[in-house]
Amino acid sequence: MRQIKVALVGNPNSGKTTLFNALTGLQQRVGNFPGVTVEKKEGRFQIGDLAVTVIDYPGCYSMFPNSDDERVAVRHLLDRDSPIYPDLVIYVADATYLSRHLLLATQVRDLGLPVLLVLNQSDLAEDKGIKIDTNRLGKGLGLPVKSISAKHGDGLEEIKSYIANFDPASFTSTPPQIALSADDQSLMEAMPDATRSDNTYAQWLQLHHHNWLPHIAQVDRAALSDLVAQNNFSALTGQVEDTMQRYRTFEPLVAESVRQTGSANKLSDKVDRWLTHRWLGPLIFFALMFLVFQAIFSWSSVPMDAIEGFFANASAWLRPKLGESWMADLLIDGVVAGIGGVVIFVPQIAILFFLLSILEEAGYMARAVYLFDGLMRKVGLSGRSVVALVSSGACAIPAIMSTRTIKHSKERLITILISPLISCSARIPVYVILVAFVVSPGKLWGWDKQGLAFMGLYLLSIVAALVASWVFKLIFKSEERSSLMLEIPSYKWPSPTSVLIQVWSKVKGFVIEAGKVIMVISIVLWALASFGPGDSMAQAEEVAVATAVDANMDASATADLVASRKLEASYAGRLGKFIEPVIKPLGYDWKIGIALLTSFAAREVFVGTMATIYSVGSSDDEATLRQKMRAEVKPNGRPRFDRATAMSLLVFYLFAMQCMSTLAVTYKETKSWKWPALQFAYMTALAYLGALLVYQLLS
Amino acid sequence: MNLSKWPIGASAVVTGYTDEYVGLRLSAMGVLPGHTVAIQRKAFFGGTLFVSHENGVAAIRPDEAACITVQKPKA
Repeated sequence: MRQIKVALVGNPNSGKTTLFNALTGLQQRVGNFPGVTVEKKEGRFQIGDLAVTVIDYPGCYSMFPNSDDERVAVRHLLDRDSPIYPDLVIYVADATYLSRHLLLATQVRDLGLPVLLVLNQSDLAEDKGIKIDTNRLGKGLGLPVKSISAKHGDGLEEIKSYIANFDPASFTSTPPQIALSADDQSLMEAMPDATRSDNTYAQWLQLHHHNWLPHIAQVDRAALSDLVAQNNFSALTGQVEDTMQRYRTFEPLVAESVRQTGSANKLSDKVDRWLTHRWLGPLIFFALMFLVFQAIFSWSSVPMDAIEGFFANASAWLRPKLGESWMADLLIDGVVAGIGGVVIFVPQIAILFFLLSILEEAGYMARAVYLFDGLMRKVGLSGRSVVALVSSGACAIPAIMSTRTIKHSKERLITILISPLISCSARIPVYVILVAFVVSPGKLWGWDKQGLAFMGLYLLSIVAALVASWVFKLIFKSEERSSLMLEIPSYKWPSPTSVLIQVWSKVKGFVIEAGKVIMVISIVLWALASFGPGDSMAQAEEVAVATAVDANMDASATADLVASRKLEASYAGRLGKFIEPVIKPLGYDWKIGIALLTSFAAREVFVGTMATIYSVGSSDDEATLRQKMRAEVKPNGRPRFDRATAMSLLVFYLFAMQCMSTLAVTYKETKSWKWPALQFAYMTALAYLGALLVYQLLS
Repeated sequence: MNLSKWPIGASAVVTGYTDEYVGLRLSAMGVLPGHTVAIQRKAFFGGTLFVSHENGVAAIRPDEAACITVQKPKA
């Protein structure tokens, strides 16, 4: 079978990813580019006997990158030995703003790569009265040109047949259109052999980017650095000149081939008058976020109840079938409970990402960056941090990964450090369980009361994040230059396919990645709670039975007593008791202690742990966890989960750094253990002190 | 005159950049010398500029706008 590697290249907001989704559907894999944590989407499809691999390169404005994402695209286009060096580039340009998209297109062409220029959003362009003479444009640029609308699937077949008929062997590149100064010429001649290329433009770019291109060997890098230093080479000047020179060549061509009859973007302008309004804009942003969270809670309750009911029924149905054995217990209390604990989050995660990706696709997120850049800068962040902070509302991991678009290293570091403070979806189940002990269900002025409590928790987490950020701003010093210069895309209707694929990939990622951890911990917990050192479990049972006989208890009360004494004697009970003195001032007992310890792996494990702790005892009782927690009493006979304890736990979970995966991502992104350690330390301290304060004030 | 001091709503023609870094970035986004730009509005926080230009719209900080030299368009 023949194979071909196709790269999708283009500016951010060109609709590249929409085309990628339209071409590959669900046949795509999301991973990382080798050596960096920039998201790499790779998809496959087949045309006859041709196997096509499509790689969605990160969006990029020019061959002069200034963020990690852009560097990835540039690096792989310059490295012919890269495993993802393309046989064919599909360059996606936005037909509604053609000329600025041609800068990178001509740069890629000049690297000697075969390029198919695709004019996306041609339907929108038509609506705006833009007519493009593709023949004339193609001739002038020396590139084949196709008009498509990726969102509506128009022109996809033409692209596919172009790929099918493309023969890499018969492609001959045209010489790069670049005028080198005499100085550049002599520098290029002095370059080490390994960094030279038969393509002058590629070689010239290697000279410009020698200090970071990973495929340049250390000795060559040193040689190039010396060469550059000795010759007073000014990279920026050359790059500005290359950019201007290109615009000077293609702008007249665009003027010849594009005819505009209507005036562009009336609608976007009108909408922006409201959405980016001086003070209405921020208010609308908060109202939108408020609606997003209301939607999460009102839409998810039905599916969540159904999932909860399903797993309760499954356990009840399995129990008599499997009989009494530790294998049966493992299966029901470990495995089934574990799977249930993962699946229960799916509705909320799906709804959150559904709404966030609609806002992103529609172009609203860039407006949020504009609205809050000034505020963010005051606390040491960048406007781009808004995207990370909003994503943190779902999960700190993608949020921390999204900070790569923040070019300023101090602003980026602070964003990474504070992102996990924003309440993520993993806290939702913890909040769901605990809020019920603090706020009774019902409505307040027509709004769901528990929904309002959630909003309050989220706002508190946002305030905490901004304050923490401001403190870090005072501590860290930096001389680096901070910049914004952000393109604001036109509003557009989100593509349903892209939104659904986004939701699907996030849910899948959660179920598989977080699910693995939750599942393993669920089983480990079951074991810790079911076994104890030596014959301590048997002894505990004996003592409990004797006590029950003395007190004339009935069978069910005896079973409960036996279960709770056995749990106390188990490894889990011992561990919980060991830390009890430390957490007692926060209002917690050893059972909560177990849950705190296990949720240092992942917060949502709290719920699983509580479920395991309370169902390991009387295993024939399938009442829901919340009822069991309500029935739990302190030694003095008052409810264990009173308002003070529940509030204290809420505050603890609000602030604590209980997620191994986030720490791992922070390490990966900062390349130092210092930062995850700091993140863990400051958040744990904040959680402990906050919970202590709340409990002592309320109890 | 630079763009940061330009009145809101009035058109201006870019004549150049006083800073190469800002120039490189803006030109890649399609804001070029000779092009017409206009500040649409300023953000409540920090006065970030919402600038429309011939190739779209951009959010630019006041100190970045100060690196863009502009003049009145010829009538």
